[in-house]
Amino acid sequence: MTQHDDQQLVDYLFDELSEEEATNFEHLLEEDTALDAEVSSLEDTLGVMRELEAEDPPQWLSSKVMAEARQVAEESQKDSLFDRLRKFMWGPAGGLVGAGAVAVVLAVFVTPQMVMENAAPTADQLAYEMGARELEAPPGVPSAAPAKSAASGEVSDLEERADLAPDSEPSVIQDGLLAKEQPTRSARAQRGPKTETAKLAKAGKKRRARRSRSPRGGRAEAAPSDDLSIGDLGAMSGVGASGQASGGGGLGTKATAAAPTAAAPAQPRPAVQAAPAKPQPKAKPSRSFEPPPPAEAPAADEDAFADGKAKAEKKKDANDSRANPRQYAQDMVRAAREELRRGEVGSARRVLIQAAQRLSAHPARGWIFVERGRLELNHGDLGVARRYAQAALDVADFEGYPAARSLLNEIQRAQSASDAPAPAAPPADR
Amino acid sequence: MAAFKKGDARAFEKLLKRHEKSVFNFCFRMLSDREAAHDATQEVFLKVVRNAAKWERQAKFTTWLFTLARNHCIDGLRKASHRKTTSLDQSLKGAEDKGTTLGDRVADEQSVTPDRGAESLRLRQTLAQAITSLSQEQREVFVMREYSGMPFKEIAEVVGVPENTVKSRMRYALEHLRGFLAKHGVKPGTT
Repeated sequence: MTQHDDQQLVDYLFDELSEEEATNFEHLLEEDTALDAEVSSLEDTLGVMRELEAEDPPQWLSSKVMAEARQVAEESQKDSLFDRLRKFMWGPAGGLVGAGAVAVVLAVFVTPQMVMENAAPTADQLAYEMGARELEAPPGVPSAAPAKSAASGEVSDLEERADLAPDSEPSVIQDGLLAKEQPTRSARAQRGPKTETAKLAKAGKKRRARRSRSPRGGRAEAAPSDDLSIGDLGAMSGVGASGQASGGGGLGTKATAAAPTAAAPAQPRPAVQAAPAKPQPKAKPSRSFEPPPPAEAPAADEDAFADGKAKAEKKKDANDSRANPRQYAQDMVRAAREELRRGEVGSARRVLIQAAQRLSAHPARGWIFVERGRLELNHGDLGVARRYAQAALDVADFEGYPAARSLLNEIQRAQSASDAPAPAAPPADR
Repeated sequence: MAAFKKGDARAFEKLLKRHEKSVFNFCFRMLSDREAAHDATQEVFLKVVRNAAKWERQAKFTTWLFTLARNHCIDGLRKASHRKTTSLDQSLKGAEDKGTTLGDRVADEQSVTPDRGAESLRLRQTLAQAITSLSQEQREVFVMREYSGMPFKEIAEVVGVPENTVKSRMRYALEHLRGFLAKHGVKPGTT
């Protein structure tokens, strides 16, 4: 008998064979009498053993078990509630609830602060835009595009550059008329290009860093204008940077003309400036903007700026100028003229620089630049004056900006006058 | 069991009634001691109650229950052997009990009922002695199969051996019982 037969025998005794297997095993039993006898013997033994029946446990046996089972069941009911809550909290639904709670907390406590922080620049931008609308010229006059106004870097560089001019030169400015022209190129040359370049580079780096940190969008579009300003600076300071066309707003020709070359630092530019004779492209109505010409600046209340206190108040008010850029620009022009009247040329420049910086994104800077250009023109720095006039045209994005155009013409006339050969001295009477 | 885990005591009561008899008989035939079987059965079910949280649905309850019972019985047998108590199979010394064992006396004392004849009582004593005479391995297989109705596959899971091993143990157990019964004058067909 094999081991397989043994196992089949046990299965047969305990009825664990299938019907087919049982039939086959019975056939095997018929053939193998010894196996059949063994199976019969074991069946008899098993039959006898089954006489010993299973006994019933006493009734009291389960009472103690059930008493403890009920106690455990009560505890497990409490625990199951806790477990369900815990599983819920740690499960996907709990995660969602937790995330929702975090979101609510953020929404209630954090978001308002962030919104308030982020809202400030947005509000400023809106203020600038609103200011630009306020400064809209009469119908048909184009206005400045926001991207174009990003020429702030350029102008600021110009401001820094111009700020290096000597302050002690007497000047008289009367509503845009050139009263006096004194070339200051020699004086600037005495300062040396290195110092100027270093200062300009440092100032430019700081400004660029400031601009990059600025949360306001759209400033990146000012890159071409920044390039132009660098070129201008290089040309003015003699570092050899080449100017590039600003290219924005369809003013490429003008910007190209404004770009200086390294080969001619601090040289007055050839007359682009010939622009008056040039046919002006028709400006788009959406860009309508005409900064109020300096000549029209109110002069009736100029006495109000007589004392320094009034000036300080005006400067303080200028901090809030974003709400009304046009008024701010007007006030700054008045303040600068007052300083000039008092002979404080440097202070006047600083006022204009501050104003230009504060109006960095507003077309009203054009007015400031015109005023600064007149200041430099009156002090004989024709090159700087021309750049400011050009910058005013760029910022205004309007070639027909009358004040800037007028300033350019005045500069051209002054240049022509300075280039004209001095009249021959009358022969001395012998 | 799942219902009891959730706190349903009645579910455990049903479970207890369903398996109490089989567990008790397993313990009784394994330990050959009624009182010890009572205690063992109680302890096994208390273990079930206390460890209900550990039970997983994947495991068959019967397998888990008889694993607990088997372990408890093995521990009891081990402790009993350490105590070096008198073996049930050891022949009693004395003229009156000549040829009888303690197991015979215990079976006789606990199984005697008025309505059973002397012959039947004698046979029951012999059958109980026959089971007690099996080795532990054979006994547990035989008892689980005969008194608990467990299939060989499940017995193999409880014992932790292959199913074929269980069947072989059963075969040897039957042979041993046959020999024991023959030795004690119990012939098939005389019952």
